[in-house]
Amino acid sequence: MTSYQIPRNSLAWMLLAQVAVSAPHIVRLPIWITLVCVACGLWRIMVYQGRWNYPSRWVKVALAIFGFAGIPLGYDKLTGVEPAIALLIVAFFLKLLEMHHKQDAYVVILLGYFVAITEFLFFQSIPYTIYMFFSVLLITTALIGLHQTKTHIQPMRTFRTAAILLGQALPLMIVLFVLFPRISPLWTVPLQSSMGRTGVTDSMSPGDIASLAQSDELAFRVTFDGQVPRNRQLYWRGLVLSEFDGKTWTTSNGLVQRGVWRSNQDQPPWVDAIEMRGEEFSYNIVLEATQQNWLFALTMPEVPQNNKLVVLAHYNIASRIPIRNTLRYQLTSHLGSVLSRELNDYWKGQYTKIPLYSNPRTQVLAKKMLTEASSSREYIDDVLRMYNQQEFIYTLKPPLLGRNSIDEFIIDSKKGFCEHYASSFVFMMRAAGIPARVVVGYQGGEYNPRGNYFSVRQFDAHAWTEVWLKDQGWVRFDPTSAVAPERIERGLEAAVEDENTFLFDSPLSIFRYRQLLWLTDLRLQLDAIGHYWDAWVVGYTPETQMSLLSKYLGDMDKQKIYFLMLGVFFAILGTIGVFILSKRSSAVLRPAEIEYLKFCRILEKKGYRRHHGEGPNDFAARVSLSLPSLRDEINSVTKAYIEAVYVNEVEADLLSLKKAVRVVRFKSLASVD
Amino acid sequence: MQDVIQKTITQIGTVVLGKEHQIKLALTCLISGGHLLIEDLPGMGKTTLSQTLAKVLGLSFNRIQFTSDLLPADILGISVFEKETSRFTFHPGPIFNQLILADEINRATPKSQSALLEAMEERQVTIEGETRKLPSPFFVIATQNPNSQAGTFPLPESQLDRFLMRIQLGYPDPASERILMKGVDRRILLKKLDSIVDLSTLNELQSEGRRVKVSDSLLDYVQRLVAYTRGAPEFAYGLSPRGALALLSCAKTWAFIDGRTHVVPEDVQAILPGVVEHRLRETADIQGHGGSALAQRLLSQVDIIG
Repeated sequence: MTSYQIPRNSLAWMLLAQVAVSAPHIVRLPIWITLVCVACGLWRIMVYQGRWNYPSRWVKVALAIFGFAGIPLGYDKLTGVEPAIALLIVAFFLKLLEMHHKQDAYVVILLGYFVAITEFLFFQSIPYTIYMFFSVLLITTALIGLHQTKTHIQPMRTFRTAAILLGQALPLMIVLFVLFPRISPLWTVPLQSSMGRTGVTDSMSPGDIASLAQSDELAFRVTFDGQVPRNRQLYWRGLVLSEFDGKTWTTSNGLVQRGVWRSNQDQPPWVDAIEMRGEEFSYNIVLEATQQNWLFALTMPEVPQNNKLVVLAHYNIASRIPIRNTLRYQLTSHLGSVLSRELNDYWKGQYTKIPLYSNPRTQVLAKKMLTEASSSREYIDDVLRMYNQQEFIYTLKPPLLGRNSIDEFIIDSKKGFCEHYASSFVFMMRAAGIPARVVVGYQGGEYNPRGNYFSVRQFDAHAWTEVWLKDQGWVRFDPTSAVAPERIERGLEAAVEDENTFLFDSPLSIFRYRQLLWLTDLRLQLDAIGHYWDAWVVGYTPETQMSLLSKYLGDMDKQKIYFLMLGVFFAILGTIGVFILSKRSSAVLRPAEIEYLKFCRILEKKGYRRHHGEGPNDFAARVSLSLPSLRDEINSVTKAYIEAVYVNEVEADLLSLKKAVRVVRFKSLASVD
Repeated sequence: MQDVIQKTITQIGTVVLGKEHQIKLALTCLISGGHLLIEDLPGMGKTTLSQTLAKVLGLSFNRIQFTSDLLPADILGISVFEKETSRFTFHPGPIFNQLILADEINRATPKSQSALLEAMEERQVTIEGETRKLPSPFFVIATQNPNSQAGTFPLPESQLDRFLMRIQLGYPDPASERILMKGVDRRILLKKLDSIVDLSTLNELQSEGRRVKVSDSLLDYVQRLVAYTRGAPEFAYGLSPRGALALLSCAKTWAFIDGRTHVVPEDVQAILPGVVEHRLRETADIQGHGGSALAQRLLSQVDIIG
């Protein structure tokens, strides 16, 4: 069998492209899958050089088993995106050993495009996008190389051709991106939760937020329309935790089940209990994927007219589906709103519930302080004063706590991060019979003057409390501000300046080098670009598309978008087509040539086609032989044409040519032979 | 004038049988003022054709048989010391003739080949520091065996380009071959031939040929042909402007021989293989002889109206 050998040029680019598209996946692949892939690549090179033969069936089976067996061994479960991608990559490389025909090379190249896309399941940032463009460029180069001769030895020229092709495809790509009717995904891709960003979760134990504060990952970005609140007003409320087991706070499941309200439903009583008041701020949040449902907002947002968002009974908002991609939402908040002036006994019971025998020393302390205070308001102030005046320390490195965590914190160690303060404060309130709950979310954010927005990062994660007071409803108390007011005013970095623990686990984080002004400036600039990318490219959802198009083109529906897309698409293709055609016929046909072509068409209808490149005399001679009835007419047309085009080039000849062509047409119509 | 040409063609036709097209091509080449390369197997009548041409056109003729030990001095001439005068006198070589037959040019070493080819281009030779003009007109008809034969030095592209045309004679048709076998020896026949054209007539033919009209439409056609060779991937490289000029001047002469004062596309098509085949190489086989296939492709891919 003389097997097909793919051109050297193409093979080199193909291997390069394979490495490029699978490189980002390597960190997630089990090591033996990588080994199988490398083995396949090396074998292919040996085959190309003629040193080795194609592997025998048994070798292929062995490699396949080894590769596929690596998948269940390398991952905990077989469902999900990562094992599927691993499978794809193994197949992608194994196919190298089976490239006997050109079709096989096509399969490899198409798989390459597919593998390139899969990277977007994990990351969608600008650097990844640029990298993927580069990978696609390499694959396209391999595809072009496949169609070049084996002796083609200028790989860079192939690369250039591919770059030009991709460059030309760019306008169409943009049209498709902006105008292609977007549909919400029909299925959701089951990403393993370890891959998603964690951020704030629905349970809080001592140390959780402190470890979250080690990350400089972005949580969300906020753009205010018009007025911007002060830093200490920026409490991005996320989850409300009301169940306590002595150590860990969790959300109350029963409450979440019952208290869900959508703007298109009738208002339940707890929604009626919201009184919108105070300063009004309108803002736009671009939330990074969290794999969770809840959203962050300043209290209390107006309920958005959007059936994708719901309001929960804790007066926090959530998305109906987990946030797997960047999500954009617009809210208007009234910062002085009063929430739930009335609270019935059932709920009072719920919000004062503590495990009976947990943290006994704190319970005793609370009882003692309550008897000393004249009112519950005074009691609250006393507790806050206790944090402020006793030797409490705000630290990112709190000591580990045991079973009775609050006892150990309040009475013994007195060293804690915001969750310690929030947790102990709520416990103290509940122990005194005052309804209270923990709120987790983010506090503050960094203002970026380049893009006029706030970036809220994981180290801005925060826990605070809400206490229900008669006639005032739920009131926010932040015990952390009693210990470390600079945390609220200037952020975490300022608060832990003295102990120098800000991001101490990530020495390379760019945030640790704020003293370098140019670096900060560069970071803000890049961050601003990233913001627009997230807002307009990654966050370009069906809703954003509709609202964008409606803004410029009036009312839009799916069908209109579809027609618009097709229109623009074909307009671009048409322009290119016209450009190519106009370039091709740079010499406009002369009138005599047009006449002669008419004559050719007449004869073509009779079954005598002038060959491409056939001269007029040759054609006349050939046709006259088989069409003797028209011989004279054909000859006179040919003669007139030659006179007009090759001899004289004057108008007069054109007339006689036209006349001769007319005669031919007439005669050919008259005689059907 | 037309009579002279027709008579010339018939006259040559009596010696070289059944090869009217090739005779016309050879004549076209010479009237256009270019050198001719005839490539064919031995014994196909290459030498006979060139001898007949020389005789009929009334040109002084000499033949150089190229061999592997031929030296440049054997072609150009040499200065010899003479006892009587005690001086060196130049003895001109065979190149000082109006029509040279360089037989089996690819048997000689590149050094000797280039001595001839330089003379062809410059129409003068420089020997021992002295430049000597070659007679006018000066034609070279070179013959060569196909390169695949043993013991040959193929001419490089740059030297092939010096020949205006390359033609192949091919086997004669059976009828002509029969006459050939029945008739007298060609060499005797050759001696009986009269020259029809003299020097002034030849000059006149050449200037008449140059006056043939070329219309814009035809120039477009030639330009499209040339552009195709430069753009299509199967061509290793395109035709040079010299190649384009060669096409045009040969087409004019062909039209003139045909008795017309204007060029039609058929003229270009008739001479195109002869003019371009040796100037083109296939991309897929850059060393090979893909020229004639490429010329056919060129003719079928480029239309006369574009």
